[in-house]
Amino acid sequence: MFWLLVQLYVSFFKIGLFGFGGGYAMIALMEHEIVRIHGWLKPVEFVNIIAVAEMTPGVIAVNAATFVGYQVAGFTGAAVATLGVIFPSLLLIIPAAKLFLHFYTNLHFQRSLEGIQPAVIALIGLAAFVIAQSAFIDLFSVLIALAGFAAIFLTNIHPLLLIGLGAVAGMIIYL
Amino acid sequence: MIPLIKTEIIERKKWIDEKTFVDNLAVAQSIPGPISVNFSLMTGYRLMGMRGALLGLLGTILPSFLIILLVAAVLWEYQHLPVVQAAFQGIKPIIVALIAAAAIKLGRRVFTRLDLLLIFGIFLAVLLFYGVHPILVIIAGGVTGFIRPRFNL
Repeated sequence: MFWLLVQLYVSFFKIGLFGFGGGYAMIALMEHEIVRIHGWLKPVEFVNIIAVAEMTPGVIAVNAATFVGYQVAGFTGAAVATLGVIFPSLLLIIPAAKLFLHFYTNLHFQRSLEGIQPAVIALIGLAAFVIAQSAFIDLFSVLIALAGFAAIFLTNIHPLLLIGLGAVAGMIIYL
Repeated sequence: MIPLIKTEIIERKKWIDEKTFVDNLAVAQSIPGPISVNFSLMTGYRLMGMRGALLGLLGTILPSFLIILLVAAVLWEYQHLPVVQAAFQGIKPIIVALIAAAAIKLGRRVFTRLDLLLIFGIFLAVLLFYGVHPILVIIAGGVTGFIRPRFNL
């Protein structure tokens, strides 16, 4: 159990450490560590967790970490995973605050950050693809996704409301 | 979450001014990790040192931590019910749409420049078809950003 907790912490520390680009990019990192490398969750289980993490308040990456940690090793796992994912930020914030002007205007740093942009978008694309594998089971699911996609770009609809509508659609179609 | 933070901290509590907010946000976006976490750490630190950073962090993650545990312990019990499964099956495509939309909104710069688009394509292909660890792709991205101007690529 202790070794499991160590692995859990290390995995989420890595996810936090390379978590550039926000929540969805971190989901791609999580999927790789949790499902492919360690096999702690089945792909479907992972996607369900992401769905819940998206619906609950708070940062999706932290929510997912808490949830995954809980599934893997109960309350202790939840605490360990959550601590793991935020620790890199905690460690980096002091140097960041002190060297703010210095490193922020450093040309090499700026360039590296710019180079990470395409990588982040690719990661987000991967996250969409991974979730799609579990989500697109038939034509209806694809239609729901397309409708959602249209709604996002054509209206100002709140994501939570959209998710609610999706839940209703799911119940109508699949029950 | 950031607009919420802005309203609360600048307008209601008046702890920092707009310029500090924007500076903190810039730093928060430059280091890895969830932006809300980084921002609360940064703002807390600049206001009250390490204690402030930890308190801000706690405020950001503790509520959702507890809520998730509640959901995990309670709702998870009901995940096998047909109603719940049907609802989830409707929610998952919406999440795909949300993520795809996020990729397009965030990727506007990448999708409108041929060189960035090419790099994006290579990264995506490598991730999808060779199962490369995303961390390597992030590192590769940082390296290409650093190297390309030097060699005029």
